[in-house]
Amino acid sequence: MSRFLKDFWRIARSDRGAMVGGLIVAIYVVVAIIGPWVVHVSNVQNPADAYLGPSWHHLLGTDSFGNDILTQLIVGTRPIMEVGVFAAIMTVFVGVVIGLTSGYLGGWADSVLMRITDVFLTIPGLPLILVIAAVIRTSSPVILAAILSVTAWSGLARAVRSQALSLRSSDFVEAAQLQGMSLTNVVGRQLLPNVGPYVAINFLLAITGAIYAEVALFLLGIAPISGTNWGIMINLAVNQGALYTSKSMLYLFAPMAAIVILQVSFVFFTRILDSLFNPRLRVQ
Amino acid sequence: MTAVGDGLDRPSNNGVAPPQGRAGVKLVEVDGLTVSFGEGSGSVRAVEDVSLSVYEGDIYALVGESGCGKSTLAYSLLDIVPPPGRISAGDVRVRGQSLKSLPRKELRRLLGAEIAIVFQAAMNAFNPVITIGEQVEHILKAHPEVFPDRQEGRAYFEHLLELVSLPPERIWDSFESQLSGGMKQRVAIAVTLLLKPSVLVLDEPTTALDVLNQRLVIDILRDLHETLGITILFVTHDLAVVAELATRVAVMYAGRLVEAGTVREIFKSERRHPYVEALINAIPSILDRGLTVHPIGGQVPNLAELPVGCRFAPRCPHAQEICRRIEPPLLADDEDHLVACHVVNHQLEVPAR
Amino acid sequence: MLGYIIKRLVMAFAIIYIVISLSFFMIRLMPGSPMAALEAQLNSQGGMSPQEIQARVAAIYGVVPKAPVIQQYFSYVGNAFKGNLGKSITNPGVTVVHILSGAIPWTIFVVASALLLSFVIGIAVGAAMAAFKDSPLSKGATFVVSFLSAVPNYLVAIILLYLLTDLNHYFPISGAYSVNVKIGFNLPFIGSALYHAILPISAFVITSFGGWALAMKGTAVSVLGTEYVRAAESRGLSPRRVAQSYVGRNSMLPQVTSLALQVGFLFGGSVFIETYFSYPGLGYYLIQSINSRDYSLMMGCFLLITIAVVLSNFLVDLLYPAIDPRIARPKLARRSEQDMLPTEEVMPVGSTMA
Repeated sequence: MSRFLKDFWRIARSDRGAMVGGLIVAIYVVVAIIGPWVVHVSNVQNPADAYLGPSWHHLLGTDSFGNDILTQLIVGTRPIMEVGVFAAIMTVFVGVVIGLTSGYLGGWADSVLMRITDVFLTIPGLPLILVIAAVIRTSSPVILAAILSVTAWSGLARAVRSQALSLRSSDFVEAAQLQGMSLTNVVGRQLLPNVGPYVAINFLLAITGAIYAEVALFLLGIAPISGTNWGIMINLAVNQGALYTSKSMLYLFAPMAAIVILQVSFVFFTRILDSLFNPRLRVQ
Repeated sequence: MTAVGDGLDRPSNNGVAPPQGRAGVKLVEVDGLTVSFGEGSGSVRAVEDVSLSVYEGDIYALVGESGCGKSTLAYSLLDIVPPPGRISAGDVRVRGQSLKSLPRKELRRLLGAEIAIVFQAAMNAFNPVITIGEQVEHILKAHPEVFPDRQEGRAYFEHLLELVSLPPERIWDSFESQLSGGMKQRVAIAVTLLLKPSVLVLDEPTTALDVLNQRLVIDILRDLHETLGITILFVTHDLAVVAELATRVAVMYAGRLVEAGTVREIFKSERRHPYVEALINAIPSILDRGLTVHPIGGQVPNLAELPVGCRFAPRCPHAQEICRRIEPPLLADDEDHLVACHVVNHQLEVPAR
Repeated sequence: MLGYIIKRLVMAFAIIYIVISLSFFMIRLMPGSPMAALEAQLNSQGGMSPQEIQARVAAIYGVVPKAPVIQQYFSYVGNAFKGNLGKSITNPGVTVVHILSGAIPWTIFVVASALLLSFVIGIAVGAAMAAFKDSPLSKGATFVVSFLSAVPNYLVAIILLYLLTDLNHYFPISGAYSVNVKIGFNLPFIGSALYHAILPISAFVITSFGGWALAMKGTAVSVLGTEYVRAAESRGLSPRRVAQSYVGRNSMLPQVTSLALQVGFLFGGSVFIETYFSYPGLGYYLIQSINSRDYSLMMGCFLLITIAVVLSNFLVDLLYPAIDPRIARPKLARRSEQDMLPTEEVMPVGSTMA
C-alpha cells in the first residue's frame, strides 16, 4: 500500500495536469459535502438586483431573480455529485458482476449474458434515459441514478469480460481452481484485483458520464425542477431569456463552467490512475 | 578509427592504433561506433566505441548477454536503431559507403539490396493486414533496379521459399496470422534474401524457436551461405549455435567489444578475455555426470553507472589495479585475434603496424 | 463470412423488436399509463360512444384498450412492423410516421456530417500528434484536445447559440432551411440547408473530434513502435509507403470499431443539439413530444432513433471485415485477447452513459 502511495505521488508530481485535476475534484467533493451547511440559497426575489456584475458582495454576480450565483453554485454541487456517484456505483457494480461472471463461466451463460449486454450496448442510451425519465417522473436521486445507468453498464461488462476471459486461463486462477476455491473466491479474490485498476478508472469516467446525462435531464426540464443544481440553473437561465442579453452572461456561464471544470478535472485525473495501473507507463 | 594515413585525429580505442584488416572484400565496417539513448547527463551508451569489420564470406557471430548492446549494434548496421536511440559517434560503412553521409534516398536503396536484417522471432515482422505477397510487391517496387520485371521478382521469391522448405503456393496470398512461428521465421529469411543482399544480419535467429526449428534455421543459413555465397552476421547469446555455424565471433560486454577473432580462437585459444573464458566454462559438459555449473558471479553493470576502468573488472577473477583505473584497449596478435584486457595483453607490445 | 453477416442481422432485428416491445409496455403498462389517461380524458369529455373512444385511442396508440393484453401486444407489434406507429396527439390527425419521415433526413444529415468531419479532423490531428510526439506543440495539442472532449456537447450548443445566434445574429435561429427557398436539388436550398446546419454540426464536431484524435494518437504511437514498421523501413520502403500501408492502415483499424460506439452517442446528443437550434430532426421531436406528453410521437421518435443506430452499427459491422482481412477469416486468424479489448480511448465525456 505504501508503495502504491509512493508511486502515486511520483506520477502525480510528474503529470501536473493530472494532479491539478485531482485537486479540483477533491475541492468539489468537499464543497458538495459541506456546502449546503455553510451557505444557503435565499428564495427572495429582488428583480432590481437582477444580473448584477461581480462584486465583493456577489462574487459571481446575480441571476435573474437577484440571487447570488456563487451560493447557488455551491449548494448545487451536492445533488449533482450525489446522483453522479450513485449512478457510477450502480453502473460499475452491474458491469463488473456481469462481466466477470460471464467471462469466467463461459459457455452458454456467457453467450446469453453477452447477447443481453449487446442489446443494451446498442440501444442509444440518452434517448432511452430521456424516455424512461419522462414516463417515470421521479425526484429520488437513487431512482434517477438507476435510470442513468440503464445502458452504461454494458460497455464495462464487455471489457471486464474480455479481461476475465484472458485471466481465466492464467496459471494462478487454475491453481485456485485446483485447490477447490469457491466461485466467489475465484471471482472475488483472483479475478477482481486484476481488473480492479481498469474498473477504478471506469468508475471515475462513469461519474463523468452520469453527470453529462443528468445535467442534460435537468436542462431539458425532464427531471423535476426542485432544489438547486447546475443543470436547473442553466435551465432557468434559458427560460428566463438569459440567452437574449449579454448581461446574463455570468448567470449562463457560471454553472456551465462549474460543470466543465469538474468534467475536465476528472478526465485529467484518470491519467494518473492510468499510469499507475499500467506498469509499462509507470517505468519512465 | 584512424586508418594509417587517414590524417584524421579522433580519439578511439584509447589512443591505440587499430590492427589492420585481413585480406578480402570488406563488406561492413563499423568504425568507432557509439549509440546513445537519452540526452545530456542522463544519456546511456548502449554501444560504446565499437569497431569491427565483416568480410565477404564471413559467418560472423555477435555474442553477449542481454543488454550488452549486440542487438543495438546490429540495428545500427542498417541505421534503424529505434528512437530514442541514435548514433552519436562513429560510423558504419557498407561496401565503403558511409551510412552517415548518404542521403536518405541512397540509404534506402542500400537497405534490403546490399544489407538486410531478419528480426528476432519474426513474430511481428509482417504487416498483419496485408498479404505476404503484397508486402513482397512493396519491396520489389521500392527497388526497381534489382527486378525491373516484377514477375521475375515473384518467381525468385518463390524459388527462395523452396530453398527454405516452404510451399510457395500457400504463402503469397496468406496473412501473417495464418502462419506458424517457424514458418514466419523462414518466410522472413526468404523476404530478406529477395533483393540478393550481400550481407544478411539476423537478430537472435534461433532464440525464440523450438529445437526442431532451430536445427532447420541453422541448416538453412548454412545452405544459403554455401549456395548463394551470402555473408552473414548474426546476433546471439547461444554459444552452441555459434560453435556450429560461425566462422568469426565478436563478444560484447556492457556496450564494449571485448574480444573478436575466429571461432576457433574464441573457443580454444589460451589468449582469451576472462569474460569469454568464463562464458565457455559456464557451458555444462555433457560428459560431466554431476552437472556442476560454473556461473559467472556478480551482475552486468548498470549502463548508467559504469565502473571506472574495465567494465568486467568487478566480476573478473584476474582483475588488477590497472584494470580498475584504465579501460583496456583492443589489441591484436599476429592472427588478428583482438582482446581488450590488460592482463591478457600485458606481454604484447603495441603493434607497430 | 456469411455467418458473420447473418448473426449481425439477426441481432439488429432482435433489438428493434425489443424496443418496439419496450414502447408497448411503457405506453400500456406504466402506472398512470398515458393510454388509460387518454381514455379517461375522452370519457370525461363526453360526446363519444365507447366504441369511438376505443377507436380513437387505438388510432393514436395502435392498441385497443379493452382487448386482452396479449392481443394488444401483437397488434401493436404488428402495426409497428407495418409502419403504423399511431397518431400524434399534438398534431391531430397526423400520423407519427408522417412527422418522423420528414424529420429523419435532417437528423441523418447532421449526424452523418458531424461524424464524418469529426473522424477526418480527429484522425488527421491524431496522426500529427503521433508524428511529432515529443514536441511542445503536441503536448499543447493534447491538452486542448483532452479539454474539448470533456465538455458536454449540449453546453457547446448553448454557447454557440448564445454567442452566434441570439446575441449576434450571425446564424439562423431555427429550422433546417430558410422559408424562402424551395425544396429540391437547387443551389439556394442546398446553401440554405448548409447554412442552417453549420452550428449544429459544429457543436458536435468541436466536442467529438478530440476523442478520435487522442485514440488515433495512441494507436499510431504504438504502431510506430512495432517491429513490422521497422522491418518495412529496413527493406528500404519509402516513408510514404510505410506511412500509408503500414502505419496508416493498422492505426485506422481500431478506430473503425469506435465508429459504431460514436454513432449511438451522436444520435443521443442530437437530441439536445436539435432542440437548442430548433432544428427539426428526430431529437427535436423527441423533446417536443416529451414536453407535450405526446407519447405516441415520443415512442415513435425513440424507435426511429434506435433503428437509425442499429442500422449504422450494422453498416459499420459490414465495413470492418472489408478493412481487416483477419475478421473475414476467423478460423485461421489467431487474434490475441488483446484485440478484443475495446480500445481505451478518450471518448467525449458522457459516452459511457449516453
